[in-house]
Amino acid sequence: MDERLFDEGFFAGLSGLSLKVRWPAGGAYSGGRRSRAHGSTVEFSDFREYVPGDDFRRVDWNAYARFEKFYLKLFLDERQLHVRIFMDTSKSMDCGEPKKGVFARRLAGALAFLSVRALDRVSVITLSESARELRPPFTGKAALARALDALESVGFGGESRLYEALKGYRGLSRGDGLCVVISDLLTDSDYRAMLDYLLYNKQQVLLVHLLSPDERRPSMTGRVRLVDSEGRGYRDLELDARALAMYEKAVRDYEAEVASFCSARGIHYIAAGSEEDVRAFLLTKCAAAGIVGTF
Amino acid sequence: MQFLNPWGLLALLSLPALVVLYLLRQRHTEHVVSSIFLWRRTEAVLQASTPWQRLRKNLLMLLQLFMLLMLSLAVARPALGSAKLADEIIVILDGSASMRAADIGGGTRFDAALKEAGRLADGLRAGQRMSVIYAGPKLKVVTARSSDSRRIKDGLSALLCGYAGADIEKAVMLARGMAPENGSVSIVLYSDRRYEDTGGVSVVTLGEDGSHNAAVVNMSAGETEKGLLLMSTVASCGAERELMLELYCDGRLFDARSLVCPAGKNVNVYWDGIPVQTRTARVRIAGKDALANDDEGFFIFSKKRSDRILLASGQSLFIERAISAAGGGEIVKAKRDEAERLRGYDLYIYDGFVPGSLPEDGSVWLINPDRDVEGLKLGKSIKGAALTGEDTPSAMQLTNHMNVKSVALARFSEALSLTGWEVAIRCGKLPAVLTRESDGRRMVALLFDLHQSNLPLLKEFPILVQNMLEYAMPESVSGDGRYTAGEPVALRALPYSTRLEVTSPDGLVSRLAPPFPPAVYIPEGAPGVHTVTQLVEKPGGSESVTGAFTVSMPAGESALPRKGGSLAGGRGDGESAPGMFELWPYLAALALLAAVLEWWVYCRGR
Repeated sequence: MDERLFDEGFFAGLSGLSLKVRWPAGGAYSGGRRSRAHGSTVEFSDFREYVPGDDFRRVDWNAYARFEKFYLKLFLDERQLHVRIFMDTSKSMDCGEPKKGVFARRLAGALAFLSVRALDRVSVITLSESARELRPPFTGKAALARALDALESVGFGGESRLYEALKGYRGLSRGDGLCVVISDLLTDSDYRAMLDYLLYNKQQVLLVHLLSPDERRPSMTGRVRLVDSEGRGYRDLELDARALAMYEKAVRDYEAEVASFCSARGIHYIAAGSEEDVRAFLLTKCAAAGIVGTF
Repeated sequence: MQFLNPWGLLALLSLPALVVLYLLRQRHTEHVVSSIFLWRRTEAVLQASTPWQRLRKNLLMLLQLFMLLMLSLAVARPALGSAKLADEIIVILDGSASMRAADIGGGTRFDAALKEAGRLADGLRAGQRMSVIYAGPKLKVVTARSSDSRRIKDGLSALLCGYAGADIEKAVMLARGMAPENGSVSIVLYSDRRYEDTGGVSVVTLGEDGSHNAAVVNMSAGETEKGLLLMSTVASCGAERELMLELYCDGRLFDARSLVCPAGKNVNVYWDGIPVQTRTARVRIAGKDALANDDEGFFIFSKKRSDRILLASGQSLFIERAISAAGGGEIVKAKRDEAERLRGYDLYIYDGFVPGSLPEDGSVWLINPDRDVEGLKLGKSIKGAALTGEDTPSAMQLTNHMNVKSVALARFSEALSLTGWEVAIRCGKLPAVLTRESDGRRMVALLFDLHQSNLPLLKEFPILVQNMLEYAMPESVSGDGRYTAGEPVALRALPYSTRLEVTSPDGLVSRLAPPFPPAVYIPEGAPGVHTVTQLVEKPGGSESVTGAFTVSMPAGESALPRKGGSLAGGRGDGESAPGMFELWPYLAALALLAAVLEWWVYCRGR
């Protein structure tokens, strides 16, 4: 039985952090994020000429007195950001020492916490062979608590078909938020297509590429049969120092390849290790990437 | 090629066993990993970059299979050469003393030769016949044209290596003589001699060229004021060595010295101050070398004669001086009338007369006898001439080392009849010196007056006196008493001797007489001091008289390696590859190489 993923100490450690977004929020509901739309905040944004149909209460009479023309005074608007956390829950995420699934759930919970606190709308979606929302999109601490409970009980299984699962997800709206993908990307499914699909939907994307230490630096040697945890067969290999070195290089090359792909598309890419502490991860790697900031 | 141990081929079963082990070893340790996605990428890299890595697994197995194959074949002991031999094989075994050198795997060269010949017998094909000739001091045909390997091996097992030399050339001649007129013949010689011209004989050269051997090759002695002086000569072959020499006098350690003996050179070592009463000396080289039997040298200090000689002559100055010079013993001079009754001497010399009755307890010289005596009837004195020697054994003994023809007589007594006498020297055609042997007593008669010849003035005179002393009072062992193994030893029976035996150093007793004269003794046992024992039964009583002689190995046998002469001049279909050439050392070396290679490949792959 795993120990509890989330406790008060965990969230207390996140108290000084905030989730930052690069683009203005484009949500339908008003919220805490600056929006590209003009609204009713007190922060001045621009002037424009009056056109019939405009609310004449917004006419700037001082400007009329000076120019004898009707001008409207525009103010910035604040909208709600929709943060979608896509968590890979295939069987491979349940592997590693420590298990990648633990880190993924804790990171998802932390991001959900930061989002709710910023009055954002949060969805937590599990991806394996299909996509499934843990709970309907939620805001507020009460809903967060239920979502966290749901995260505690998330099960891992099945194959990782990221793109196919995402294509089947219907809760994605264009340009309304931030998508965080937490996955080990150990899949034959085309992660590039998945990321491109998110970008196509005008989503800000953060990819957390999660691997465990034993995946980066395996220690087994000799004649081994490596069995795929997701049931995609096995490989008989004679492992020696030379083969292991080649594997480690392949891992590094793969990470570099993904990072390069993301960089070319403006996607935040962060390589994570399951052995890392989530708060330290947020404070260092995510802060360096400009995703997380402090008050 | 044939396998000397065909059962060893059973070891080849280990090859399929190894393959089975590899098949069983194919079981992998199972590890569940999150995904084989990245491993597949690695596998592709491995295959692309290091193709030998995949081969390595097979390479190890192939190397192990090769190693096992070589070991299995080595156990089966494949040998080359037997197939080259003809249907008629004649094996010559060198039985010379040098074949006793123990430098072949702890065994002697002769043992190795027997072993090789035994293998040759084991490998006889149908229709092949094998003869074995043992070449020692004498040649011996051990087995003649036999195809029965057991019989051949029984004959081989009864052979012992000798301590003497071997006449290999004569053995090869005998082998060629034994070869059938028609058909091919292979003559295989197992010897330690290096032949430059083998003459078609397949020579299996035994022994190592670098074997070290030191030997005592010569012993001689003299006398100084301090006592006896002994000189021993030590020879060494191989590298320069420091040797420790020990001198034993009559069985007791007397002195020990160390010396550096350069390779291939002789070193003389002098031992002085040896007590005069010492009878035998033994010089021994301490430590081990290839040939142990030549590490000892023996010397017997001869005693001066202690015989008593009665010299009855009024004008015997020449004879007296000559006997004294020869160390003949104690001379008692007597007048003619006294000599008639004096008895108890070993030798009676009557010059110019013959006593009324001849003594029976000793030998007698009659010089210019004045009357007939014991079958010798004398005539008138006649004019003499130059002397000539006869070729009878007694005559040759008397004239040994003499130039008889240089002696001339002015006058001498004519012998009318000489019943029981044997002519040793003639003057013209008439007898001048006679010998007689009856009942163990020996007599010499000179039918001339010494003053009527030039003999006393010649160097032949003391030689003749010495020879006459040796004839009349023989020692058991003549000469300096030093012989080499295999050399015939002619032992002489003392007057009134009834039995003569020789005891070898290893205690073996050989009876040489009766019948008399004693048989020739050929020492074939270990070198050392041989003791001669004679039982002398004189009219006054019997006594046992002992003598001794030494036997050593021929000096040439100690020089290792030995050079052989030419064996050319006859048949022999053998080629340069002699006998069987075993391949197992090379196979074992290949197996070792494969093991080292496998270890290297294994370490490199880890």
